[in-house]
This record gives sequence, C-alpha cells and structure tokens, in this order.
Amino acid sequence: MSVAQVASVVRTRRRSRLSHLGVIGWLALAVIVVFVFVAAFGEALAPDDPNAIDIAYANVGPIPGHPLGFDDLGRDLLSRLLVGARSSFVGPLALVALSTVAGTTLALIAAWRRGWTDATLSAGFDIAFAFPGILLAILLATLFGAGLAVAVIALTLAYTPSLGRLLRATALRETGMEYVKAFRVMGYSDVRIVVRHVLPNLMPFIIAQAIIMFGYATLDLGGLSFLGLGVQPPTADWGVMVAAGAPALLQGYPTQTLAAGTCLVLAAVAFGVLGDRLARMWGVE
Amino acid sequence: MEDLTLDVPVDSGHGRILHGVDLTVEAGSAIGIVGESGSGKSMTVRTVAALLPPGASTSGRVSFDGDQVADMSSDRLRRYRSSQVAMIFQDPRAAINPVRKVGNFLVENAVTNLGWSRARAREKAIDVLREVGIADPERRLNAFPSELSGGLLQRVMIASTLLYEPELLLADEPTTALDVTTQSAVMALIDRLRRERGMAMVFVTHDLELAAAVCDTIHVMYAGRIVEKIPASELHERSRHPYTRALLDARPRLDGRESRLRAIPGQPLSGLEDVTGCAFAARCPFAVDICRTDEPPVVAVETGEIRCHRAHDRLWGDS
Repeated sequence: MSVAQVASVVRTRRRSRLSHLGVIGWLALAVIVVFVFVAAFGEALAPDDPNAIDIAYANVGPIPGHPLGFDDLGRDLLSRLLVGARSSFVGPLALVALSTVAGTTLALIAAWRRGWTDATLSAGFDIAFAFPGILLAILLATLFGAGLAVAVIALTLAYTPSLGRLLRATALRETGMEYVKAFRVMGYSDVRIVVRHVLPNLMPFIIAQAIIMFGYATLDLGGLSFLGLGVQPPTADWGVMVAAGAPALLQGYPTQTLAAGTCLVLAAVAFGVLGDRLARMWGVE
Repeated sequence: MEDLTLDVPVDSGHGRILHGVDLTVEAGSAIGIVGESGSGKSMTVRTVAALLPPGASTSGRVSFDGDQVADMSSDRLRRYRSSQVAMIFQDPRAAINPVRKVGNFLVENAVTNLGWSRARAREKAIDVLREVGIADPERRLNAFPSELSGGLLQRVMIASTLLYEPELLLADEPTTALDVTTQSAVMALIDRLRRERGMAMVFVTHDLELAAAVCDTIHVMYAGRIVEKIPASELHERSRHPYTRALLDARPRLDGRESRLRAIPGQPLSGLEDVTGCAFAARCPFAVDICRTDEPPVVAVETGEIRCHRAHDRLWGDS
C-alpha cells in the first residue's frame, strides 16, 4: 500500500470510530453543548430579570413573552432556568475536577508503589466508599454551615474513592506493562514514567470516567441543593428550584419543579451517555 | 568496565527463585544463559538491571565495575541504568509505549538521560535507526509502534541502546517474539553491533545453537541454579552435566533420523520448589543415592564448572 492509501485507511478508520458515538451519543453531546452554552451566557439570554418578584403573577401559566410562565413568587421561570444553569454546573465542575485530580493521584501512587502503600490506600478507598456521600454532606453542613462549597467538598470526599478504586485497577495493569520496566532500565525517573507515559495512556479512561461522574455530580449536587445543603435561595439553581416548586406542585402548579427537574435529569443522562459512548469508543469500558 | 560478578539468591517472600548464581562477564565478552522456562534466566538478568519484582529481596552481590548495584543511590542507579547497562526485551511490542511515536521514544530517551538538545537527539536517532538497518528512518520516526513489524520494532529497541553505547547489554530472549525469518537478522545485528562497539552481553535464550554461535561462554541454568559453565565452542562435544546433555538431545535433528524429539522425562522444576539434593535428580538418568540427599557442589572440570555429584564419573563414552 502506498502512503496515501494507508493514510486514507487510517482516516476511514477514524471516521468509523467517531460514528461509534451513535445517534444517541451525538444527541447527548448536542444537549451538553447547549447546556454549556446556556451556563456560559445564561444571563445574556434571559429575557427577564430572574430575581424580579411580582406576587401578582405567582404561579401564572405561560403568557406571551413568558413562555414558561412564573414561579410561586412571580419570577419569570425561563429566565431563572437559563440563569440557573451556571450555578447548576459550576458545582459539578469543581466537584469533578477536584475528585478526578485527587482520585487519579492516589490511584497512581497506589499502583506505582504497590505493597503496603497500595493496601493502605485501597482500604481507605473501600472505607470511604462505604460511607454515603449525602450523609457526609449533611454532617459537614451541620459543622460548617450549608453552602455550595461545603457540598462540593463533601461530595469530593465521596467521589474520590470511587474513581480511585476504578482507576487503581486499570493503573495496576498499566504499570505492570513491560514498557514501564523498559523505561526503568533506561534510567527514567519514577515520576517521569508515571507522568509522561502511564498517565497519558490512562487519559481516555479518566476522561470518560470524569464525564460519567459529571452526570452523577449534577444530580447529587442538585439533590443537596434541593435539601437546602447546597446552593442557597434566592440564587437561581435547578436543585433549589425543584425544592421551591414543591409547595406549588401540591397546589396544582407543577411547572417550576418539572422544568428544573427535567433540566437536571437531561443533563445527568446526557453526561452519562456521552461518557459511556466515549469509553466504548476508546475501548476502556 | 570491567567486570560483573553476580551472586544472587532472590527471596521473593514465597521462596527462592535463584539459588546462589555466580556469573562473571568480562568487558567486551558475551555470555549466554540457557535453560527451560522458569529456570531463572530472565530473573538473573533482571537482577543485573536492578529490575526486581515488587517485594523481592536479594542477598549476595551484584557488582558492576566494582560498584554494588544493590547499594546504589537512586541517582547513581539511574545513571547506571541510563548509561552503563541496557536491556533488550523479549517482546518489543510490549516494551515500547504503544501510544508514543517511535521518534518520541528515541528522542525522549536521549534528551532525558543524556541531556542532548532535541535537534541533536533527532539527528542521532536517525543515525542509529539507519545503523540498525531501518530504511527511510526519517519517516519511521513519525510511525507509531503498531505500524511497524516486530522485527523493525526490535531494531528500534536496539537502536535506542546504541544512542548511549552502554558497556553491558542485557538481551532477554530478544528474538523469541519475532518471526523466524527475522530472528536471524536481528540476532546477527545484535552480534555485529556488540562486537563493533566492544559491549559485553548477557544473552538469555532457549536456543542452544544460537547461544553457542554468539556467545563466548554458555551457562546452563536449571531450577534457579547454574548447573554448567562451559565455553561455547565446547558445548556440543564436551558438555558433561546430564541436564546439558539432555537439552542437547532434545533438539530436533536436521537429518530427521528420529521421528520424535527426545523429551526430558518428568516436569521441569522451578527454583521455587524446595528440593533436597540435586534439583535435577528426579529427571536424571544417572542419579544415585547421594544426588537425592545432598546438594551437589560446584566442581571444576577441564571445560569449566559443573554442579554434579558425578562430575568425575565417565557418564558419557566420549568425554
């Protein structure tokens, strides 16, 4: 085969691999792109002031100019949803970033050192893993007061071991590879082998896991906000909105809870699906 | 450099896999280690590179040019590995990071360990690739390992050792994973480069003929022990240990006189198993009572050394 032929084969293979995302995968990606866009520019997109209260419009349904109607305090629902996207994603982003970095670092240390380091860290992962994240969040919120930062820290403590456990197993296999030994014989330092070679080779796995984790994070943080342990009212936030809509729901005005809940679920599903598809595409299930 | 003495009983917590192995490699010479799978050949060379499985402990001494490998600080060990000793692995496909380009593999090595500039490392990498017989080295630098054949990849591995010209080359079955037709070419290449550059070599293989062809001395290992040391030129005619003989007899013959290969009866013993007496006694046609009770001593004979109680008995008509 000529070089050009090889190149074209490689290109087709790439294309066919991207098609592994499938219709659902692309759909998930599209949803995420929209959400990210809204999270970035929500305030500019919002037709109204999301915090302007007008009791006269409380729980009023859709009217021209207000396609989703109003919440229980007469605030424009669409505006609150759009603005709330940011606060609903900033938390998960911080959570995923923190726990991915921490989980990856610990897993690599465990896999590299093996022996008692590994045994200690693995036991630590298992113990922390057994402790429910929500319970931990309630505990920390009681100690330090409720707020997004506390909720993120609590869930980081809960998420880190689950990624750590998963990644440790994969990292053990990777660090056991012959090329790692070959690098050692070439006189490469441990840090260099791990950071420059092992870590990049694990990246597909880590990225896919982080995306899946992001889906869970939106739900869990939304849940904590719903319980009043995360984002605090009156900040527009999907979790807060689900909770705030609850009384109205009982009175027969489900729009706020449904709309915010749908956004949360849609985000969680989209991230889960995309992460799963990527993992399958990269062969790191 | 000059001299590597090695005496390593490895105790991996579960048991010994090497039992008092003695090896000396003179500067510029080549020794071969042969034996069945599990006889401790690979572990022996890995010990030289201080590449032990986690949790392994050694006793005895591995010294390189007067320095104890086990006592080296991590800095010294890195210098030792990066400039004095090099290893060629059995399967180049496993031993080269599969997601980095070949050029990256060679250049990073030179930049990290030798402190060269990237430009110089690249130039030198092209030189060494050409030297190991790779056509169109500029293009190969941009290839991923999966795009090269096993033979080419092993040449890349060899090229990486040429970048810094180590004094000692450890070749752990370098041709086993390769296609038969490329085996001889790769082996010839290793042999030529080694001789040209005066590198010493420890060559591990199953292949007695190959070992005899490229090495000065052959060490036959069985169950973690060296059972016979003999100059390569004497291996076929004058080896004395029953195990060496059995190995020689187990080879296929070109004249096809025998329809079946003569296998050695019984199971090979790994060094892990505890034995009283001679490790080979259970499979040895000449075993006598003492072989089953006492560990045989190392006996000096005219051809070298053997570990056998019956070293001085005439077991073979022709020796």
